[in-house]
Parts: sequence; C-alpha cells; structure tokens
Amino acid sequence: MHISEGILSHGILAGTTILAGVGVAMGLGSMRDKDIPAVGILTAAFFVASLIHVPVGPVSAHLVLNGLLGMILGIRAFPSILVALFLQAMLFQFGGLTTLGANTLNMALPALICSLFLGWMKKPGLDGRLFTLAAFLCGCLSIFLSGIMVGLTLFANGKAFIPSAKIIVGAHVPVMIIEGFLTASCMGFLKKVKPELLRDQNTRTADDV
Amino acid sequence: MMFDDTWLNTSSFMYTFDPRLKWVVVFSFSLVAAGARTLSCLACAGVLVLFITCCANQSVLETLKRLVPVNGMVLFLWLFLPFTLQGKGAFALGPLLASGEGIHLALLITVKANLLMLMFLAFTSSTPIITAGQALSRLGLSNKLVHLFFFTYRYIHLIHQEYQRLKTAMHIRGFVQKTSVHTYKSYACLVGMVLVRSSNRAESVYRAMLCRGFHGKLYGSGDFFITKKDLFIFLIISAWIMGMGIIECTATPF
Repeated sequence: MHISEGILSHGILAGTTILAGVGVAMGLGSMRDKDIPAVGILTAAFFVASLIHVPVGPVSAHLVLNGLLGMILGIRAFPSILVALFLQAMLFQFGGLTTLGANTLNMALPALICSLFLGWMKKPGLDGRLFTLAAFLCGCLSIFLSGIMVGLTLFANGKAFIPSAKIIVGAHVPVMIIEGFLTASCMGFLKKVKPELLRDQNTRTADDV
Repeated sequence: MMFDDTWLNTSSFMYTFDPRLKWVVVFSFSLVAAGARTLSCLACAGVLVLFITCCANQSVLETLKRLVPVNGMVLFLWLFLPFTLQGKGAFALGPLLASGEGIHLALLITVKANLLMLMFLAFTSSTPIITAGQALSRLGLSNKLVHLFFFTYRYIHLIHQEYQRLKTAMHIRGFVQKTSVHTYKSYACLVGMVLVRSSNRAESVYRAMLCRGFHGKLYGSGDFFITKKDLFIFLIISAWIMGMGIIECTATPF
C-alpha cells in the first residue's frame, strides 16, 4: 500500500525519511561496486513481479514479495525498494516524492526483520517441512508488518486516521496469507532450481557474482 | 511499451529547462507544499503549479488519467475523515454525523495531494528518466544508488518481456487463472523462473561489463548546461516558493 502525497505531516515525513535514509545508507555500504548489476537486475525482477495481479475471489491483489526480497538481499533491500518505489512513482504515479521515505521504510523494514529472524532457513540441509513453514512465515510476516507499519504511520499522523488505518491493516490479512503461500512455493522452487540465490550473501566467495 | 517515456513532451519549455534546477524546484516545492495548512499558501502553490504545468504543455486527458492513483487513496480517506474527526456537525448521513473539521481536513489533503502530484507530473512529462537520474547524481546523490537506479530501469523492460513470454507459454498450455492453490503455485513458479533467469542474466551482464573495463563507474554522455533564461526563471520560481513558506508561517490556518 503506497501512502500518497499530501497526507502525512512534516514531522512524520521527516522521521520516516531519516530512518529510511539510514537503512539505505547501510544497504549501500554493504554493497560492493561489483554487486550493483546483480542487485539492480533483481530489483527489476521484483519490480516486474509487483505488476503481477493474482485473483483473490472477485478482486485481485498485486504481489509485493518483500519477504522474499529481504531474504535474498538482506539490508540491501532498502536501496532496492527505494529505487523500485521511485520508478513506480515516475512511471505509474504510485506513492509520491515526499512519501518515498515513509513508503520505503514501511516495505523495507519488514523485509529486513524477516531476513534477520528467519535467516536460519537458508542453511543447507534444513528439513523440508521446516523450510516451507519458515518461508510461509517470511511471506506472511513481511506483509503483516508492512500493513501494521502503514497503519502506524497513519495513526501517528493524527487520531482522525485511526479507522482508515484499521481498515488498511485488515485488508492486508487476506493478502498476507496468499503472499505467504506464494513465498513458500517460490522459495521451494528456487531451492530446487537455483539454491545459490538463497545462499547467505556473506558466505559467498569472491568468484560469485 | 509500458515503461517508455511515451508521455514525454520534447517540445515544451520545461523540457529545455536544466534538469538539476528542475529537481531543486520540485523538491523544494514539495517540501513547502506538503506541510501547508493555510489557504493563501495553497493558492500560491496552485498558481505556481498552473504556470509550470502550462510550461510543460502536457496533454490534459493524460494528466487527468495520471491523477487517478493519487485520488484513489484520497477518496478512501474521504470515506472516513469527515465522520471520525470530532467537531461541529456539518451534515448527517443516517446515524453518521460529518464534522466541519473533518471535511476541512479531507479537503486540505485532496488539494495538497493533487497539487504535489501535478508538480511531479510536470517534471516527469518533461524529463527522460535517465536524465532525471543523471541530474540526481550531479546534485550529489550517492553514485551507487544512481547506478542501481540505472540498472533497474534498464532491466525492467527486458525482464518484463521475459515475464510476458513465460506467461504466454502458460496460456498456450491452457492455464486459466482462478482463486485456487494451483493458480498460486503456478504464479510462484513463474516468479521463481523470472528470478532465476534475471539472476543468470545478471551474471553474464557483469562478466560482459568486466570485459569492457567496468570498475564501478558509469559515464554519462554530455553535460548539463544552465542558460541565463533557466537561471532567471529558476530565481523567480525559488522566490515564489520562499514566499509560499513565509506566507505559511505568518498566516493563520484555515
């Protein structure tokens, strides 16, 4: 859920932008020059994935997959999501310039939290069922936290926004289950087809790209 | 192609305006207008947006179409704000009482959201995306971030084509999307395949770049050039935006 321009007050905009800025700076710091093409192309892949609409009963929801992104990119999810959101604003007018910080934070922080708490699932030789469960949780939790954070941002903006914040959090629940399921299936697929993608970035050797 | 600059108008004055100055204008305007609460400040913002939109000379229909996403969220807030903010009752809708304060706030948000988006639209309709990135890099944005932006923008076209190809292949094999486990699994594999192919492509792109002597620097073609006319217009706009800020600080909120 993108927060549009003109809704948040100066204080909230400044706070979220600073926090997002710290995340982006840390992400860029952990990124070597040679990582840029790989991170850029993966960002593009997630950008395209976010254009996919899956049917949910009579309506459809677009994929977010920030849990999966966090699992693959770690802290580098911050610059990656910032770039993707900037492009979405430039091309499709989703979100906006001033809310770029708030939206980045709301999407990237859950991604980072998932990668920190569920990162153990990337260990090779993990039990298959445990892996699927962790992957499901990763997809669920990242969307749930994103919903909560959008709600909190609106809540911090003023008491009048509480009902709309509640509705937004509620609307994330069905999406969260679908995302969890999709993330679990997708990670299972990646584990079979290209396990290097899920390998811990720090243990990668210099020959890897 | 959906990611191209088809919306770009190369014959407008805004197109020739130096992109770095354009960024400064858009950012400073957005900062001041985002926090505006006074009618006079918003009126000044409206005049500036009107002037710049006219300079950008963009299609009215397309502009209206591009305002739709912003107003989706605004409309959503209209459903709640008038009824949740405590204040003097303006009108009743069955058991719900809409407050004057709530309507004020919703109106304020509507005006601000549209003004900010119109300003941004005037920017996007007059600046190619690559130029916008180059200008940000000249303004001191981290080079790594700008490179990441270039790579992402360069590859969304290709990866989207790849996605379309895989999707066509699914349809040819008789895939019909429904709310079902099968659909979700198929989409998960589709996304997985897109990621695998992208990552493979990233490896070969990086090797190809190494062969061409890449060492973490990208070189843009040509430099930006600020003409006297650019500077003159920029100074007037900046003074106007500063004026907006001063009015905002001194006038009483409406």
